[in-house]
Amino acid sequence: MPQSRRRFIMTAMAAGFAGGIGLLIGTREQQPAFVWRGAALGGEARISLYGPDHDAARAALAEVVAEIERLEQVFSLHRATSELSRLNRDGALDAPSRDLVEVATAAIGWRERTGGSFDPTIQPVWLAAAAGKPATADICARAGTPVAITPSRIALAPGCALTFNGIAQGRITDRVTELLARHGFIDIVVDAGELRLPGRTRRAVGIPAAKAAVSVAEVAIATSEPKSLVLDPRGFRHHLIDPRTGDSPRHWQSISVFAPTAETADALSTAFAILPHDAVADLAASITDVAVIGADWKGRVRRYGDASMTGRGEAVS
Amino acid sequence: MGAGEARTTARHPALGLVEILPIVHRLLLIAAAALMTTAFSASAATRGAQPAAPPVAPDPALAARLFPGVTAPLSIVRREGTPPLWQVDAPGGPSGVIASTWDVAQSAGYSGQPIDILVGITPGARISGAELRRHNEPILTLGISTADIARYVGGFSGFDLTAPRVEAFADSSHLPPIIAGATVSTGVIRDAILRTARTVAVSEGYIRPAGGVIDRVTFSQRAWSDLVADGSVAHAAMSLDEARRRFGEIDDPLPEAGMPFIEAWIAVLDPPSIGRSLLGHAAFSNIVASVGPGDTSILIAGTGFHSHRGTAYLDSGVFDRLELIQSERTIKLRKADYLRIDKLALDDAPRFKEISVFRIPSSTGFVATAPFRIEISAERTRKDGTIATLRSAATYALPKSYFAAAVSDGEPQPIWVAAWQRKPFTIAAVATMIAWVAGAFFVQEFFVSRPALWLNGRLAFLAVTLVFLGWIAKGQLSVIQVVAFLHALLNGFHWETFLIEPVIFMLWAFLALGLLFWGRGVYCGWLCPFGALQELLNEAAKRLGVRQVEVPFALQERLWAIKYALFVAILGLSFYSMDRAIVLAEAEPFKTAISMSFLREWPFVAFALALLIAGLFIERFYCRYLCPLGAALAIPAKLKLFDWLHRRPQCGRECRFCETQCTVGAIDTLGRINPNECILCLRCQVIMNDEAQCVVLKRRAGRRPELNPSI
Repeated sequence: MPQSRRRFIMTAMAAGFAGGIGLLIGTREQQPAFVWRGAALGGEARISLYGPDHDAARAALAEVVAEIERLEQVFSLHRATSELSRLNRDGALDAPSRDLVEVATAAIGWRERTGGSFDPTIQPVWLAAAAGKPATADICARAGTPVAITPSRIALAPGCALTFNGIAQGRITDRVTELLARHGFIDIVVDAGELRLPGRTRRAVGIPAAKAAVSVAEVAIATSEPKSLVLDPRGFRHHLIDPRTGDSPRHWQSISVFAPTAETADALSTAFAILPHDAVADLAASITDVAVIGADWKGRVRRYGDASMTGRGEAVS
Repeated sequence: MGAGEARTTARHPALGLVEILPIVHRLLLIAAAALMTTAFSASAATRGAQPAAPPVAPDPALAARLFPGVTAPLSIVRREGTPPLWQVDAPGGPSGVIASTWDVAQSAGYSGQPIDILVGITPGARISGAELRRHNEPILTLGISTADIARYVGGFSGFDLTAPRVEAFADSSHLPPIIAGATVSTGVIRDAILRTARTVAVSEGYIRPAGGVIDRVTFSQRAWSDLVADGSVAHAAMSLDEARRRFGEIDDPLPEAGMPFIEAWIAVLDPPSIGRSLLGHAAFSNIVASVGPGDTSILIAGTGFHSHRGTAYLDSGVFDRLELIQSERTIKLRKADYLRIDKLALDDAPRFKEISVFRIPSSTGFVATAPFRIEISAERTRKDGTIATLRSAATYALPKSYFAAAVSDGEPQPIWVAAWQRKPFTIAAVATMIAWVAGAFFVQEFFVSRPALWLNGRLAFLAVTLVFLGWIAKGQLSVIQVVAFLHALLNGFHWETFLIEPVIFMLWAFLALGLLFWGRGVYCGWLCPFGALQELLNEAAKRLGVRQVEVPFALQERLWAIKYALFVAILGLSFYSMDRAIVLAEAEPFKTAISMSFLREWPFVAFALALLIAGLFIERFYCRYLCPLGAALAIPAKLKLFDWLHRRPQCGRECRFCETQCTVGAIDTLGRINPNECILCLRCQVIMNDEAQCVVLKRRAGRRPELNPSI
């Protein structure tokens, strides 16, 4: 067995799967049959498939690579030719893809639902913060309708720019999950920026806030942590910026959101990360099918929302 | 005195510079390296700023020649783009395009200089005509008339570009025969014409690019059930229950039951067996007529509750509910590319609520033969004000049975690969000859200590060189190749140009090493067919008692200069005009005597014979005084790393026998061997080791009894 496994690893490496972006690694039966590693929107992506059919897995993963590439071409701010970059540059975009329309619609929806603590118009503020400029509130956030979305055209108010970095990774994760389901891969673990476990098999997932693993299934999990990108160590400015003030609040060390789709989990984890715990509790209670595990700045673990989604709180180690 | 000491070979005493020589060598090598670097960077620079030698524009008369049978007047319009073309239109409609091989394929000839051929290509993917406009091919101007080239180039007219790719050089009735003696240039021309024509035919949509190509001809009437069964029609569906569950609490509830929420059937219409079967002859013809080359038509037919069209497209021009996704491409379907169909031609098809045909332009990058998916999405507002979306996807892969046989493999194999594959025997034989020469020099001492072996071996080898290498394999190097190489260094060096003639390439490759190891003699003395011819004739003459003319060394030294002057003149002239340099290079009788086996106009033959007759009295007369190739090779011969020709201290002082015996008079009155003139025939080495000939050995043998008085 170890012999053939090694041979398989060698074959997979030699195959140089998908232009060398990812790498397939064979493992024991109980563990994923395939783990693919790559990148999505600058973040690490990792997909674990379970099943005996290696050829089917390879074919499906080849499509996953193309799909991630396609969505990067929609959402990436690092590509001048992406739909989002063109929208920000030109102030309007005709014939946008469904993905952009839906994510923009959802993002503006979350902007309303969260009272502005999640806001895709934060891009100018983010750029200023990344450049080390003093904190200012998001001007676009105060505008009544900074974005006009119709299925055939998206238009921005003057001076506004969008970022979907707090939601698009979730979208990509959902899209990849959907694609793999079409190939018959349901019992899988998808991590294309955010985590999604669409299958019914319960799996242990490490939650940094809880300092433990939870046993979950049929759920998406998104985690926000200030420490993952600190812009200015002395000024305590990190990548999670409150659009309403331009500051980076210090409410949470880490906060994980459990939701049915990665897109929702992603958007809410971004919103919750800048809200104090009582506001998080209120918001979580107002949205169905959402649960939160967070570690506040003092290290205290707090749980809100639908406890059944977080594996009934049972810790697995 | 020990025999060992006497046998010790010594360099010429006058050379007391032995210590300095390595340093001189090193300096020369450094200088050469610097020179090469400069030449290469210069060539890189010129390549970077490729002088956009504008192709000669076609005039109406030329266009008429390229499109025979098209009624004048023709309009010719230059179209800048990739590739740039001239669009040719006749009163009756478009005739096709004219492309320049220099524009499209940057066709460079043997010398690295541009070859420009204008090629006419018809929309039917045929070459209508081709005309050579500009070239600097050395070999073409030699012995082959412009009419031959024009006939060769013109022979491509009527060539069908959709025909299976013809191996370069392979005998083929599709293509004009190669011009004898000009295989390099004809290969380049053939490659340039076919590559240009194929590139243009693909870019103009005259032929579909490689990879699966849809068979647009074969038709057989199919039933709906067959089309669904083999995947010609794909299906997407979502039930009302599932839609209800996914939407959640929505303002405007979905109906309780009846039909599916989404149900759609999709098909690529391009294969007649699908398109014509589904739509019927009239509608299918109508669609095919309105679709551009390279475009694809797709059918989407729905039976579900949710319309795939919606109504937003009427205002926005974009179908917001539909998305075509192929690999990393997202393609929006547009109103301008949409056609409504009311009914399918098949009786057994479901009753559709709506049928749409979409044209997918080739500019979207869509490839009909690759898998794709169509996503139909639906949106509802929930009771809490949020918007819920869902989508259903149908994946489609056109069955391979609708693919036509591949037209050509897009990027053709480089022409030189075929050249090497074509003559395995010749290549092996020449490689063997080269190995023999190299081997003989590596075991030189063994070889030269056996006079009979040396003489017979050498004559036999020269015979092979003349007959096989020269007359059969056409392996005669020429000074023009040296000039072409230098020009290539300046104009952009391409290995391909030199690899195209395997025998010549092998000889030059060996010569490059041989020059460093031994000097030019490895070629001149052993592998040059004309040299072999001279030497064999002279050998025969000597055996027949023809008196040899002794050239005094002082005169000999001055006559040597002629060949260097000739080489510099050819090289210098080549920078002014390659054509004239080639005419001057006719001073080489190689083409007459070897490449064309004396089958040439009488002045050329007379000249070659005159040289050979002179050679009967003065051995290797041509080599000694006239050969510009020898001169070109003698100059870098200074670089040689080893000095494996032995001399005795007595040579030149006590004995000057070798000097009189040297084939080319390369040994001076002091007994030194001039490496620039030496052809490495090894005769002096044989003499030196032969007690019957070497005076020093004779004298030593005579003294031997005195050293042993006891005998």
